[in-house]
Amino acid sequence: MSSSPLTETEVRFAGLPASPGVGFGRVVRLVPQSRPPLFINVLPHRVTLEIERVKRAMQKARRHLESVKRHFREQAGQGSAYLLDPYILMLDDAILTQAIEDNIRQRRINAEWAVKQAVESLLDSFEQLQDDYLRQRRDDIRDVGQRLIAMLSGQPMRLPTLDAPSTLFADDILPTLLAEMNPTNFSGIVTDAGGVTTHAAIIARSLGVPAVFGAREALDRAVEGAPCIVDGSQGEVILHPRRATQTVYLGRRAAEQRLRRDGLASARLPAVTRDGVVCHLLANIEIQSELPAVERCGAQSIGLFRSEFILSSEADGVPDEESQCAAYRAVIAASPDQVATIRVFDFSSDTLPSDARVAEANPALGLHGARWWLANESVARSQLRAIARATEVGRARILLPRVTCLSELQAARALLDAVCRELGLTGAAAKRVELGAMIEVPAAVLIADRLARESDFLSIGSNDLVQYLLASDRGNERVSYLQQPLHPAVLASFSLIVAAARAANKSLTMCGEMAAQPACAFALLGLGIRRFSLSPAALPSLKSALRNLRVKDAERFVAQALTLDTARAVEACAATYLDQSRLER
Amino acid sequence: MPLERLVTVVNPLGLHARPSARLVTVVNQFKSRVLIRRADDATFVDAGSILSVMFLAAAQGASLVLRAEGEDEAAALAAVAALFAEAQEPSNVF
Repeated sequence: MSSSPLTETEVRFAGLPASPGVGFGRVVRLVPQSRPPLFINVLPHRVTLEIERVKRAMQKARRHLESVKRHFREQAGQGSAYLLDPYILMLDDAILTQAIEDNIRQRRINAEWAVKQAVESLLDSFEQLQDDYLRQRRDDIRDVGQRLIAMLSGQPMRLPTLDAPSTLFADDILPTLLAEMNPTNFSGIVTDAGGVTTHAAIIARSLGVPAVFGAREALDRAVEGAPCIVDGSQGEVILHPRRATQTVYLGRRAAEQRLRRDGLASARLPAVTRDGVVCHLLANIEIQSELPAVERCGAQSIGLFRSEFILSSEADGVPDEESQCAAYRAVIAASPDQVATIRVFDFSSDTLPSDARVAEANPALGLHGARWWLANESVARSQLRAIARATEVGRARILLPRVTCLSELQAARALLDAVCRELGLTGAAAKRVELGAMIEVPAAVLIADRLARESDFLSIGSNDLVQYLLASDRGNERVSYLQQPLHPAVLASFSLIVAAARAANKSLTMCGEMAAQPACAFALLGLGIRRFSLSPAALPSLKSALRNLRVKDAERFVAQALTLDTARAVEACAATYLDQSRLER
Repeated sequence: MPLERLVTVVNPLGLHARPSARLVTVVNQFKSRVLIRRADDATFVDAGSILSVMFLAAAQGASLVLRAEGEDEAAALAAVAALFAEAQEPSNVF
């Protein structure tokens, strides 16, 4: 792929990470081809004919989807093919057929309009449901309706043919249309609408096609044929990437592919180092559909549930206590040990729900994390109530993000105590809810001993801590070279935190993807960290790395690393140690 | 006499699209008419209609009443109830 740096500037925008992986390709815009259906009044004798037309169209659409299912099974495997069953069954559903027939008979209208009306009234009924997940299934009904109308109008939906690596840009994509695509040359998909729990997202993940959904105005920005990178793991889209950007993302793609190739083979083995030290692997998750992957990837617990992601499936605003409680209950129940660390909403001024968004000159240094949460007491209170109530199915560890002062932890503790009293949770029941601080602001590192004393547990948020320690935005390419997790300042900080947690005898979990890099895992092990929480997909390779390391070597390495001057020197030192242990094997 | 049985949804995500699809597929393998309702609502709906089943909005922990009537009613009820017993199986996406 070549870009033309002289004429086009690089454009970056973000959306929701709907399907992981990094894809390189050219933009193919997918604009709706079929015209909206016409409204026609039909003569009485045409009524039965229109009903016949609908029946034939349904049969054809069903047969077509059966063939899509066979195609999808070949591409994505037997385990995924059932994803198309709900659509096929809907095309045979008595409620839908009856509603269409009634429309035609009673209102004497044409089949297309009758389908449109029936689908709309079904969508209205779905709108009434209390259940968020089900409300999202509106897309599926819309999908079936569009297919039917396309069949009736004799303009079956046509797929773009991809002759070279291509990234589809669309306003929205029908799940079944995505399932019909051939993954060859399909390097990614970007949509304006959509969420990570939609069927389209699940299908993209089954096909292994990187996807970014909910990237507003993506279709408007994309010019047909423009070179493009989609990073479905981070939720990033880059049009006209510069050479340097391409290099970075080629590296990421190689890393992701390596991970997939290593497979899940080691997932079932115990996470024990060569010299017999037991480690604990936990999973970071954002959305409920990731839950089944937790156990499959060999995680023993959920080490970080980023609760603010339950908002992305909501139109706007924070969901009420009931729906939050259901979400947390599902997370705790799905955790292999029925314990989940739930981080309370971690917003900053630029990531707030759109109705509450405010402008701050510097969101990373503004009202964020624990500050925002404590400032919005009613939100904090209902979230705590929802989490505490959800512990009837297990235990919850509540994590307070971006703690800066001890007083924030104390305020959260007071609020939690009040909520537990309100709910009548005392004694053993109250012990099922723990509270911990997330260490990711430099000030928190330096008061880690005080925080450890008053926390039930501690977690390190490595992404933000590295970013704040080195005062560099990881999204800013001009300073991205400063993302140095082995910088001496980072190692020294970790070392302080480990000492504080040990002195207070509190558990400490490292949350963040840095442990996925072998040199970092080696350093963390040597620093005394035994609990690692990462995205499920990163766990199998971390486990096989840990199984090949010795704590004794790691400690020797760290003792030396703490005396070195630069990240580069630490990396070189790690490489020497790792090579040595490779030779011994 | 139709047969009835009380079942509970154990899937953490409730009786959603995929479990509903399985339920409907199993129901339609039998000759008997199988109905389903929420234990807290007296109206039965057709268990052979995916839209009806999805409209139950049965979350985890919901109690449902199954009713089968027809020549193979006992077998139909047993097969459908077994779906709930197997925990709607650990589906990997729904």
